[in-house]
Amino acid sequence: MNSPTTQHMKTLFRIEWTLFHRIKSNYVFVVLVPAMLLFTMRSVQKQLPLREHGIEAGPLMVSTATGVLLIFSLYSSVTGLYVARREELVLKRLRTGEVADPVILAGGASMYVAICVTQIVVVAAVLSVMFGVMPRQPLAAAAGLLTGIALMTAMAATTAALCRTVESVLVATLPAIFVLPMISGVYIPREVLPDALGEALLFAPLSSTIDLMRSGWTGELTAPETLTRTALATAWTALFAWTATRRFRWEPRT
Amino acid sequence: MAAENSHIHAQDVWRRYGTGKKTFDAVRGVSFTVRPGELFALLGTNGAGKTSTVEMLEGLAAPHRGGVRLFGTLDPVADRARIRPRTGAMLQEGGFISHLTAQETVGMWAGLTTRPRPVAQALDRAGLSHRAAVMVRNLSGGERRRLDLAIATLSHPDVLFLDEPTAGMDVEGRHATWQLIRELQGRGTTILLTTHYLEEAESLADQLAIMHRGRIAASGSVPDIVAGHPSTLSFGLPEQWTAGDLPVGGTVAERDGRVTVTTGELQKDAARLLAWAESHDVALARFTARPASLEEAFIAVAGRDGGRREEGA
Repeated sequence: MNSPTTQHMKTLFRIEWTLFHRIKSNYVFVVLVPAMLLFTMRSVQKQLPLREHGIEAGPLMVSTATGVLLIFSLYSSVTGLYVARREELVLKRLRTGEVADPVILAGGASMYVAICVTQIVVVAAVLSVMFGVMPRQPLAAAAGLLTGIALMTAMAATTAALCRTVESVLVATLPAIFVLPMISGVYIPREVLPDALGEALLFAPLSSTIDLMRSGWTGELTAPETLTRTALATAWTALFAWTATRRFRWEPRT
Repeated sequence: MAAENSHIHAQDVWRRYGTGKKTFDAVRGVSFTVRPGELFALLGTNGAGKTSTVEMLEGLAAPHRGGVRLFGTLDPVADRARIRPRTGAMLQEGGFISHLTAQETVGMWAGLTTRPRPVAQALDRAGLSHRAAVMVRNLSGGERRRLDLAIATLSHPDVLFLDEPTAGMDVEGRHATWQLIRELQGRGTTILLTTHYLEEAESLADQLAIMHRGRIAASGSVPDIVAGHPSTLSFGLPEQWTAGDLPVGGTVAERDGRVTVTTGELQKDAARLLAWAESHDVALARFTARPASLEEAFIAVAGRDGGRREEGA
């Protein structure tokens, strides 16, 4: 079926795909930076007492890669995209046409979602082969991937609402780029931290996604735990989406 | 005129910016109606509230007070999905992705539009066929306006909003755009345009309104609007006569041997003056009589209140 919404999504995806390849610096932020971070984090994680906590290196790297790619390939890229399009008055112009507001945002982000999902699937496959581990709970991994994508897109829209200019995107995304991975178990697993802190950080925005992804390869989460983490990630997504709905600006501040 | 029979209807519309004590009413109780097939021009100085008004009609912003209806009964915000396939809009500026070519830009909009005309045809109508492969950022200001118009008219809209469509265009481009607008008028498209160019409004508009400080200060057809402003008689007077000898009302001014009479009763004063000249055997050199121009009416409206801005609700 080719409904107007599908047609609009396809068109916006195609345009962003064209632009992605036309502006070469995109490759640096979406491919090079995450790749360098992953190599660095592999070295860091080798120094951690993972065996003492019963953590397998392969699944941990899968969850780390997922977090890094969600933050760099999706979150920071989509935040920049929304602010740039707003500054150029493209969002305002699109609103004079037939495209619905959610489709304008989703259509623009869809290309980065596709890139991010492809990157995660490829990296997870490569890591699975490298470490000799296979997915044990594919549904948990799928839930992790879906909640992560929804959460990062909603968070990008919220962050874009706070940015006045394209230049301010760099500053506005810093907390998510530096703090979020530290508190969500992306770089250092929560089990390695003191018990109380590790348990409290379960409620950090990206923790549930990371847990779900790791469990996809370890099978460590029970069904209720999987549901709880899915619900937590959904609640964060709903909170960011609600904030974005209220605060998102479609045109530059005057 | 009833809203039901109109294409655009604004009733006591207000638009407020800011919150709390720091509020500013950019539009203050504007009402007008545009009939199907009519071209309605909104004139005004910078900051008069034209764009703020148009944005409410386009559904980009909801009125703080009052109501807007398109096609008789549809609310531009609530009924957006039903309205948009029937409308086209051109913003005052921008709205393009600078790294796309003109052709890619129109192609993108074709993918977002119900029943678009072919991309090549749209570019041709806008006179941009030879610039199709040029990046938008490398187009001139006038070419971007033409590209914007090509996008706004991509779907054969019933109602078209044009916010300063010829701003930044050279004379040739402006006349080509006017020609395109006249073609759209000829096909029955209802058009609302804002402009700074009085000549543009005078040439194209069936009805117009002059906005000043958020309100409509004058509205109607061009003859309606200028009728409320004084006409001018102008002539040279032989040396032995002075302005005080003339049998006319209104304001009489004399400069460099040329007399200008500003009057609200053009026909009567002209008749009296010509009769006086005939009876006194006076030759009125280069005699002219003309009604007020739209520019004079506009300046009279825009000059009210001494340029003082009114801020706060």
